[in-house]
Amino acid sequence: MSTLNSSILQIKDVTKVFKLGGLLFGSELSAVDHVSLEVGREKVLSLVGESGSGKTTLSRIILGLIEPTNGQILYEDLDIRNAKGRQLRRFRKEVQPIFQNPFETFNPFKRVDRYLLGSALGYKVANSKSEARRIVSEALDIVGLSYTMVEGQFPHEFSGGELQRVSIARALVTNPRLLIADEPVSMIDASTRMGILNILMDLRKRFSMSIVYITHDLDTAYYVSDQIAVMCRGCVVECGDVEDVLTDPVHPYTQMLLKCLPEPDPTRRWEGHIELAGLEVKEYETAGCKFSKRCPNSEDKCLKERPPDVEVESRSGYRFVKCWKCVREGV
Amino acid sequence: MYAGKIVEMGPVDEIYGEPQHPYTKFLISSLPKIGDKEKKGSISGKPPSLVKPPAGCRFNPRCPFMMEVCKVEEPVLKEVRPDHHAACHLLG
Ligand SMILES: Nc1ncnc2c1ncn2[C@@H]1O[C@H](COP(=O)(O)OP(=O)(O)OP(=O)(O)O)[C@@H](O)[C@H]1O
Ligand SMILES: [Mg+2]
Repeated sequence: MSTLNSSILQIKDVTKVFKLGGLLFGSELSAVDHVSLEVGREKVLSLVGESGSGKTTLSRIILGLIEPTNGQILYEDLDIRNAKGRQLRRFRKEVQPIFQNPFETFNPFKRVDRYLLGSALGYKVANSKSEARRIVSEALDIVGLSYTMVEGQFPHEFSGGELQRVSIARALVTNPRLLIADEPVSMIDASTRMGILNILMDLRKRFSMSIVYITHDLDTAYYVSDQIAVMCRGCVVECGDVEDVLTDPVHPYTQMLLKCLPEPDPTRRWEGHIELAGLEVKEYETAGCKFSKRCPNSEDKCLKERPPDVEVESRSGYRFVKCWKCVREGV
Repeated sequence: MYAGKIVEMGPVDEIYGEPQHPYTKFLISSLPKIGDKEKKGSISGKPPSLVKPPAGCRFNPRCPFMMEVCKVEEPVLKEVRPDHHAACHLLG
């Protein structure tokens, strides 16, 4: 699957088991379940799936914020679990997050320009205040803002879209190679969302960055990405070139997501959760295919045994689907 | 809805097929769609302050079709089709 150094990030058989509390005390849930994926150099990989499919958990594992129960994350051949000292600092600079809610990214009581200068000094990308200011100005220019626009301002003085731009600038201060953007536009005003997505696409072109874009929204995933991985209860059930997967989905779960796209209502679709809360834990506990309880093609085997990855023929790279029906009938 | 005011309302299909208000038109043309790789723009300018919204039509500072009247007089919702209303001075 991998050719040497064609990818910047390798996710190798990663699993994260959470122990549940409350009513379900004592039980466990694999929020990420044997996931293997690669992010190509200068490529955008989208992670999509309904609410509670493990997207955020996986993104936090990639960022090193939570430790996987099993498996490995390799960033440029560096196993991040073993990274220390200089290597760890390099990883933290080069892999930067962008979160859903920009108002939570910033300290509400701290002026935004100070926060940005602090980042530049803290990551030691600048050695003096004047150098920090130059780096921060450059980062703000890239996202279509300027230093004078943010100087002396507090986070609440910005609109959501503007502050999300500032948070992208914050990520750019360290000159990252890989951005992990978890629902970066789902809270942004509809009229400015495309501006933010276009910034991300420019970054990839102008600065050769790679991006992991996490979303519920298949249309924006199609718009920004090269590759797509579809997650269902911790498992990647279908993965491949975005054009292939979204215009010709093979897994019944992907087909359902495409059908369930909420009515084209620009104000509603972005909040569109297709949630089935009661089912969620039951599906996580299924020994077989995680979608088998809802799948129209389900057979006994689907409920009992985990399906293997089945390769799907594609002219644009490796594509697979995790489905017993494809084993039975071929693809 | 724009800046706290309804600018257009009506049957979803009709609004998607034939939007009447410049804001709705833009919003719909800028939505990405599976199968369409064309670059989409965003409306230039930023959403207005809700504390001190612009006088007249709230969309006027960003509207490509802005006229003098738009800066002074706030448009009201007019019925453009049965059950389909839009608030814009362009719609006579
Ligand atoms: N710290 C935790 N302890 C226990 N369970 C957790 C924890 N964090 C996440 N989970 C569970 O793991 C599953 C996956 O959650 P995650 O937040 O990764 O999903 P997601 O795909 O990002 O969902 P959304 O689209 O709603 O953001 C959920 O069932 C969630 O309840
Ligand atoms: Mg999430």
